[in-house]
Amino acid sequence: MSDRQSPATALAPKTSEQVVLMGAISSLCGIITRPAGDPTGLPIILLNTGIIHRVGHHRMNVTIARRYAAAGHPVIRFDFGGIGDSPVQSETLPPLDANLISIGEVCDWLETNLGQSRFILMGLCSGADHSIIYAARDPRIAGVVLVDPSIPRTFRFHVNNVARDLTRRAVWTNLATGRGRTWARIRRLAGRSGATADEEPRNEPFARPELEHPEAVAFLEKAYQDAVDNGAEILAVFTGGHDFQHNYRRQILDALPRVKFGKQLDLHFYADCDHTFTFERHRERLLRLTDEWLARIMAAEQREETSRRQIG
Amino acid sequence: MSPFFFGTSRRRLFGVYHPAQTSRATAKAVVLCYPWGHEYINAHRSMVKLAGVLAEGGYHVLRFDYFGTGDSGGEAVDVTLKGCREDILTAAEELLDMSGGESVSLVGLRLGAALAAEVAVAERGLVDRLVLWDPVISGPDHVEAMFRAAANMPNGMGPPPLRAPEKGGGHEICGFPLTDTQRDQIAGVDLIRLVPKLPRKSVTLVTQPAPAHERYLEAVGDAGAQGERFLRITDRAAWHEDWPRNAGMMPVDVINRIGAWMA
Repeated sequence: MSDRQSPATALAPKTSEQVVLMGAISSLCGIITRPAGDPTGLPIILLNTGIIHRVGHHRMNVTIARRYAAAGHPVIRFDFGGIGDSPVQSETLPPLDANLISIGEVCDWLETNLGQSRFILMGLCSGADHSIIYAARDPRIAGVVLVDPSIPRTFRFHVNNVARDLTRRAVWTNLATGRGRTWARIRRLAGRSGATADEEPRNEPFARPELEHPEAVAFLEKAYQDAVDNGAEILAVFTGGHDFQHNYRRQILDALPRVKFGKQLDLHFYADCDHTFTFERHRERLLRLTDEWLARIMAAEQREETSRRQIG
Repeated sequence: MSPFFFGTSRRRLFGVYHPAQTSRATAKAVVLCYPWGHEYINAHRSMVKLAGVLAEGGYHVLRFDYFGTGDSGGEAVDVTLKGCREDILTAAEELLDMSGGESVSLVGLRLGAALAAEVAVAERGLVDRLVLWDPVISGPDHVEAMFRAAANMPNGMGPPPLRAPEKGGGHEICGFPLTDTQRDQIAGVDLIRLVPKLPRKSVTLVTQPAPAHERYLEAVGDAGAQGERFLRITDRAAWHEDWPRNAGMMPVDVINRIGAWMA
């Protein structure tokens, strides 16, 4: 993106924003931010994070939409059914299935209305999960930006976790004074009851051990592999904010060992960033990385287009 | 519901219109006034739910984003309280125009409640009913609370960082900029001063205790209000982040009580 105007300074008086209603019943609510002139970049689709509506945490999706529209990409942010301003789309389908259909409908809308047929998906957390699962099913997806997607914990994750715990003074204080989880565990193993409420087994409430189930691993491996095989480039950024689930850069490679990412995975670990990128400097860091990745995607797309024309 | 942009090309506002689901003898309209900053993000789904409840109760409802917030035009540093009050008036006019309503009521949450009260007092006769949901009563208290929230986020990230002067200065509060100008404006909020001038049909609902409540309650009492004008309800705070789900909780009881009071 170095040959373009810096998106950061071009927060775009000349971009335009429009409400669009998409989907089978024209009720998927989105905002499309369009570049001033003809688009020069692939359309970007921003997905919900959990149940937060399309504006995103810290209004991040609005910032992203305006930034990349200023750089030539049409950008659409929309709400899945039952979130924000979109009513539930299906009373019978599970939310994941309904949401995947919705992503397809947004792609269809963009193809029909903009005449573009290659797309970028961006998502944080559940938005990342939807992105990769959808990319496995639709070869129109040229790339996905995944921020803190769900991946299983690994042996090295647990080693890192223990090593990190050992650097905490509280751990040693508890060991010396007979308090804390470790002693509670020992007392339970020794069959001694009488543990205090503080010492009840902690179920690591935020971690998702179900992702370590072989079926879940196989599902994720298939999703990533199919997305790669479909030609999708992957920018994956993991943060220290979800250190109960991932804590090192290469965890996805260890967790999903059968996926052959080839050169399509651009992998980063931002240990000092929280899950929703609360600080402006962290958001700017993420967006600078995305700028560079998008520039590479666009260059590759242009090369493909040129070779297609030459063959044609 | 119908999402749309309204306002002017220089000040585009995003709103969602919920038409009344049942007919009433006279068309009545309600504008919802959102909170600001991170509280807006957390509370959004509760406000959507409230709009649905009011529409089912026969009200035409418009909820909208102030300029510089949500899907509306502008950037977060562009937000001014004066601008927000003007946006509420623009939204009220838009809603009356769309719905054919003869009067408009305002329901505001947190800073949105303070803004709604200021509009109701400044535009006497315009506002029929006024609902103040966990309103910001004292501006200085609210500024202090914002800084406290920023310093005590669930992920424990320390004091709010300063923002560069070229970006508008001020601090970052839970992911949103708070310029010095915005801070001064918020610090100027004084709901107690407005109590005697509030519309006759006003109610305040609080779910979370705040230091200013006793003084506020005294002011409501001095204004000769009925008991119903200040309701303490045990329920969740719509604007709080339910970590690590990173979203707000929905206080169903409060929402239903507002619906019932409006009916």
